[in-house]
Amino acid sequence: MASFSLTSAPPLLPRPKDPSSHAFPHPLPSFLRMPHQPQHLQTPLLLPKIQSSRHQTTATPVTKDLWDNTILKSETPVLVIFYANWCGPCRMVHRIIDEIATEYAGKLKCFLVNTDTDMKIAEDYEIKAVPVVLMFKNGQKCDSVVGTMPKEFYVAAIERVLKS
Amino acid sequence: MTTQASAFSLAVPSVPTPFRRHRNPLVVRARVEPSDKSVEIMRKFSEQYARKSGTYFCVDKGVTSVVIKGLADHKDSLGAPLCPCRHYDDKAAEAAQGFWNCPCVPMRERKECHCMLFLTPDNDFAGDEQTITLDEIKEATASM
Repeated sequence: MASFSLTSAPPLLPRPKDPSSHAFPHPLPSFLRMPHQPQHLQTPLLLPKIQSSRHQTTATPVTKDLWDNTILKSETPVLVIFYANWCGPCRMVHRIIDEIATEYAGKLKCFLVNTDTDMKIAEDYEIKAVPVVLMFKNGQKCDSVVGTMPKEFYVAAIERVLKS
Repeated sequence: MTTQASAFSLAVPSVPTPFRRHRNPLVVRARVEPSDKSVEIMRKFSEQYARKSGTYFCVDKGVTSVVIKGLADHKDSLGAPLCPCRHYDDKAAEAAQGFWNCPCVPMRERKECHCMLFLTPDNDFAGDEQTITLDEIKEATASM
């Protein structure tokens, strides 16, 4: 992909950190990660993209702990895609959202929520079918897109939110 | 919730690297692969049901492959092929109830599969195939 440049600037988006992350303030280089285990054994489709997103302006994972600060208190409008581990169409939508994150860098922040691991957020927002894309502006949920849509559909929804 | 917790705990002890334990909890909790036997059962089921219902696999067979593996994963962990494209408060209860076990009620009644496993020919994402090989599934999910 053309947008996947190793020289691109680090993301401006706050990244989720686990409590022990001070031990590894920077993501480990890929060759240090689980060298004994092929990625596909523990990651269904979405995670490699998440990992590779650390150095690009693409959708970033967010967890319950960081929800308030990254989503609700964001001064920039926010888009969140909810996915499940083995959901095929979620992968298609994730790919679209990654493109959108690059195209709307600075105007819109894009995040990912794994509903299998972050059940609380999924329940708070009554997520049933995935993928679901929610949009937030000034801490308020202002739009949602359920299911798999063409890219133009998401772009139109984003434009409405940005203009509102 | 109990089923999920146990599925995750299977993944953790198999990983001896200390780095792994201290990294992003999302990664640590990722699931194990479904068994080959269940993948094969769900693969055959998908082919048969596509033919029977007059529906087609997604033009991107990566989608089909992931969903088949997701069904197999639920078959392993829950005993039923619960739809992998939904979020459930209680997966075991849903599997027992049966509404979202594949083929789910909306599929059987109205040919609606939001997981995009079975697509009617008029769907923009529909391909023209009703077969998928185990190799295709493995290949599509290996490059993830």
